[in-house]
Amino acid sequence: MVILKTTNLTKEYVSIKRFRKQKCIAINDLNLELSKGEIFAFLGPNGAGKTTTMNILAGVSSPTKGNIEIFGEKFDYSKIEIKKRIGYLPEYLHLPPYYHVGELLNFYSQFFNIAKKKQQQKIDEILESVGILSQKNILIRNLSMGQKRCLGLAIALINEPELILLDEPTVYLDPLVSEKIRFLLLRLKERGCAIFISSHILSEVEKISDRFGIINKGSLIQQGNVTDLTNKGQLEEIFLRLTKQ
Amino acid sequence: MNSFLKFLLYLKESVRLINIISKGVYRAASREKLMYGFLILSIFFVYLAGIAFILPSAFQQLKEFGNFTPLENSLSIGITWINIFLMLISIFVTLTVLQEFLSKENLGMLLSKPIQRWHIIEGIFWGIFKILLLNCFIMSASLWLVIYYLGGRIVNYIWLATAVTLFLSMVYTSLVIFFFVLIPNAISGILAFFVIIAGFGASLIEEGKDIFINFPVWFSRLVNLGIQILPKINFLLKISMKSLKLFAIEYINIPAVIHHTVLFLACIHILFCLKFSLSKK
Repeated sequence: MVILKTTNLTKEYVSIKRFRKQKCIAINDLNLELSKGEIFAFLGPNGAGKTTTMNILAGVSSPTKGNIEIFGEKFDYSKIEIKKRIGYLPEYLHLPPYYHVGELLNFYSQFFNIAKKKQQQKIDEILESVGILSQKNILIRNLSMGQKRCLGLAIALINEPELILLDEPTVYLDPLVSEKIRFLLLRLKERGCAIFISSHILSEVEKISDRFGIINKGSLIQQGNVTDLTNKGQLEEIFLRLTKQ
Repeated sequence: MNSFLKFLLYLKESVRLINIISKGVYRAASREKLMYGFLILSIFFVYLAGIAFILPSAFQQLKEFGNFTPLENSLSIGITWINIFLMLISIFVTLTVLQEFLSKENLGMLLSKPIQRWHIIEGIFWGIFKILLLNCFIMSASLWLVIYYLGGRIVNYIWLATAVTLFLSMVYTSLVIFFFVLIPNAISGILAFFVIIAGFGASLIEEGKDIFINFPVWFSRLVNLGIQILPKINFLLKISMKSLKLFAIEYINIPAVIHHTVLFLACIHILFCLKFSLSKK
């Protein structure tokens, strides 16, 4: 079952330099598909268009051209009902430093109409799964970068999403926590979630993803199955070969 | 009928979402140290309003205060201070909150949740309104104490007058949000301030427009044009400094003020919600 499908997805930015309009194509005719219970790794060098794609898929920004279908319905940023089934961890997080960890999760959980009785139990479960339950009553300003990343992940998972979009989920995390997050993602995959990960850490991506796509200068230049890779580290070889061209 | 029901459900859900955002905004605004500075200063100035009662002879010589009792003059001065400080608080707090809530990172986090752009901007407005309500209550209570201590005959006017002032602070906040949506930086605060000042000063300029007769024709025409336009804004907002100073509640047509202000608020809200929804995504 296809959860996410993009057709000719294009995003252009217009800037004005010396009284002349200049077009910058951030993503160009992107065609992607993601099925239920699948982890798709979205790879690319800096400035390739990964975060722009993630923002469009999460409904934060809109494409210039092309279509997005999520859960079989046409998607744009105004579709509230579809957004209720999506979880998104952006690359840059804004976490108000004056909130306690539990309070912030409580704030974000209110958007999803979660019953008040279940709310606290759910918050505890999610904090436990990302490994920061002991920090529940700590002010966000006192968290480390890694713990903030875990909190961002907890916010993305608060609504038990069926489609999870993660932009650099394991950045700032130590190997122990990274492993914990990998197991969590595999558990979610088993539960039937479709997971779309953008990452620079290729060794990690190789361990958990089913398929990969490499984007460079806004265009998708390679897609494939991770199982087709014959030896460990081959993904990095492919990535370097394609992006150097 | 079905679409009407859907619309009602959408409205109910929108109110819920706006309320969630407003709670977050209230919390962010209540952390603003500058606001507490203004609040303390305002209480100090409100207490100073009692000077009109303590030194009545000095105030009786002044043209603007001569026809009123010392207690009424104290009340007028107090209300004016409340209005000035609420204006300052609404501009500064709105700017700070807007810069935090409409930052790229925060918008990214919020917009990925089941919420629309106009919910965020309306949530910001109502969150700031809540904090202004609290500030207004504290300032009014201070004035109430002063007047009660001095004689207490006209204490009940205070709540009515500050309700109007609070209503006006909604206008100030809306103006800042409107300009911020157009120009997302501190200049929006300066622009809003100028518009408010223009509203205050319009009626005073109109009284003295004969001064410009000896100036070049093009200049006096320009001034006349400005004077003709500005009172329109002033009439809409009913916020001339003169009427505030003389404690306008007794003779201002309150239903008309409320009607005009609500109309103005509705228009400006529609404008900034539309602009924000259609802005670069």
